[in-house]
Amino acid sequence: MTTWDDFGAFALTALLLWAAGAVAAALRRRAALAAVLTAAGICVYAAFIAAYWAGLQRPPLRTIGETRLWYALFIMVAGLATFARWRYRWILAFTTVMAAVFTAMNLLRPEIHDQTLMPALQSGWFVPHVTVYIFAYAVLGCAFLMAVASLFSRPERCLATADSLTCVGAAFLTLGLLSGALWAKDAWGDYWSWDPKETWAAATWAIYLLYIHLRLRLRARCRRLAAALLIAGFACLQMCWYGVNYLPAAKGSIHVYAQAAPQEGAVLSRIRFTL
Amino acid sequence: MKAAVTYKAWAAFVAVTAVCQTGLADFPADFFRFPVNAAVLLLWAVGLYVACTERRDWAVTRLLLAPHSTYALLAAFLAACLVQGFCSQRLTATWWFVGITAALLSHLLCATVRRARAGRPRRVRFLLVHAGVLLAVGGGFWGAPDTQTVRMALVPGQTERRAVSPEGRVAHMSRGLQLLRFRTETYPDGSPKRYEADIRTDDGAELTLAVNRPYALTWKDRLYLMATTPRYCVVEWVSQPWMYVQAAGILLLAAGCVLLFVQGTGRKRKEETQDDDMG
Repeated sequence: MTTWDDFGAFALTALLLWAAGAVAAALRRRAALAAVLTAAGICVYAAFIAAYWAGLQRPPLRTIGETRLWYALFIMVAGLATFARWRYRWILAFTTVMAAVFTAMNLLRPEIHDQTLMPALQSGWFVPHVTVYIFAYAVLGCAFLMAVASLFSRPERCLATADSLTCVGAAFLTLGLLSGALWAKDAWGDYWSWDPKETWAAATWAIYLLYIHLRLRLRARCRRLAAALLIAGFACLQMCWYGVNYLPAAKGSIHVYAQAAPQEGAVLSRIRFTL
Repeated sequence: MKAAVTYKAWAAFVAVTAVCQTGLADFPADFFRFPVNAAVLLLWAVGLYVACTERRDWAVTRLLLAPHSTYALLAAFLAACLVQGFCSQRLTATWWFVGITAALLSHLLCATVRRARAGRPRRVRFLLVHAGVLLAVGGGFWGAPDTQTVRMALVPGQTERRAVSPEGRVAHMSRGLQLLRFRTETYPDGSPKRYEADIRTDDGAELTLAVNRPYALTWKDRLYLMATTPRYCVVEWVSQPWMYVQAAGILLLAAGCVLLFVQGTGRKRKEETQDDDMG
């Protein structure tokens, strides 16, 4: 059975493959090799997640650490897709660094994984909601990299790529938002309750909508503002993902699952009426 | 309408709502319970439709149809969300939050009506996304005064009709609920794994409630199991007649997002290259 102890071997193998892919991408006429190496790394990482899922007997999507696993996987999938479509030779190096950072965080804090899954998370919406969201985060992470790149060279080409990535990311972000709303109706009685996590999700969504609308009409007249919006959107996204847990406002959040309290029901009961 | 005029007009609007907030209490949402909200909604929708189709020269119509209104209102909505995000206190009932949401919905309705009458490319996607947001957000906005959430503490063997609202008011419900039995399962570390409650209504219907498994009592009323303690269960009774409007909006928006993913920006590669040359 695959356990968390095996993560280091899988992660190291995947990171080596991704690093080799990034180097191959940087060299001219090695695009196919870069794509194959990166895809191989993705397969190794995905194999660990699948085996770990089977070992845990629940989807590894509950804790922040577990969502980081998916983020590292999806940022590489998004990076590979961007590389295959637009041939940015530097994109795989950046996505590899981002995946390595999230993998290192998980290696350094392994205590965040356990087998329990509290009742609120036992829903058919759990897996689609979280995976769709994390995929959106990864694609929008690539859009963020393109926005930063646009500040230094070839702004319109970088932002045109960012436009495509943001379209895909915003579509998935919205689907994540909607699946969350449908789940919230089943779990808590209302589609939307302006819980701190939901509020930050709405703020993140608004930033990307603003970006899409600005770029649709103003294009070349708002390059710096557009890049700034994507950077702000990425910061907001981090806030929504885990930063919100550090805010005083999150003390009453119904979305805090990391530390499962023995009397979850009682906690929920108290929380819901303080909103 | 010029961009500067548009931004000044919306800034003035937000300032007025802020003044209302300082001079008055929160927005009186309770006044807009059915049928008042339905009547106001009808007037609002018909008024904006007529303005967008027959009175496009009016200043308010030009303001609501101005492209820069999209940026101004999305930025205002973003700012409102950020303020709420950093604040522990619930601000969604304030005049400025209600005002910004109402203005955004008005702009959305006008843009949707205009595009529905014009045969531009990707019209289906536009209409699905914008009508979806309009219904999903509008359903929550107009239906909020009619949404009622109360809690009942059910002790085994006793029929209970009393419920408590979030404000602490006691309400008498149309049906009594009797808790027959409840089960709680825990993991080895003591954290909860599953809890369920068997309940009988006073008209004889028996039902089982669990987390994520509500029971539809009527077309607008649903029961939720919120908590169990060794002595009693807490059941939430949510009455939300506008939920179908929101559900319709969610479905339309989801369909629009699928099209957004499939069609992308809709921009041609040749056009991107030209832009790059210009940049």
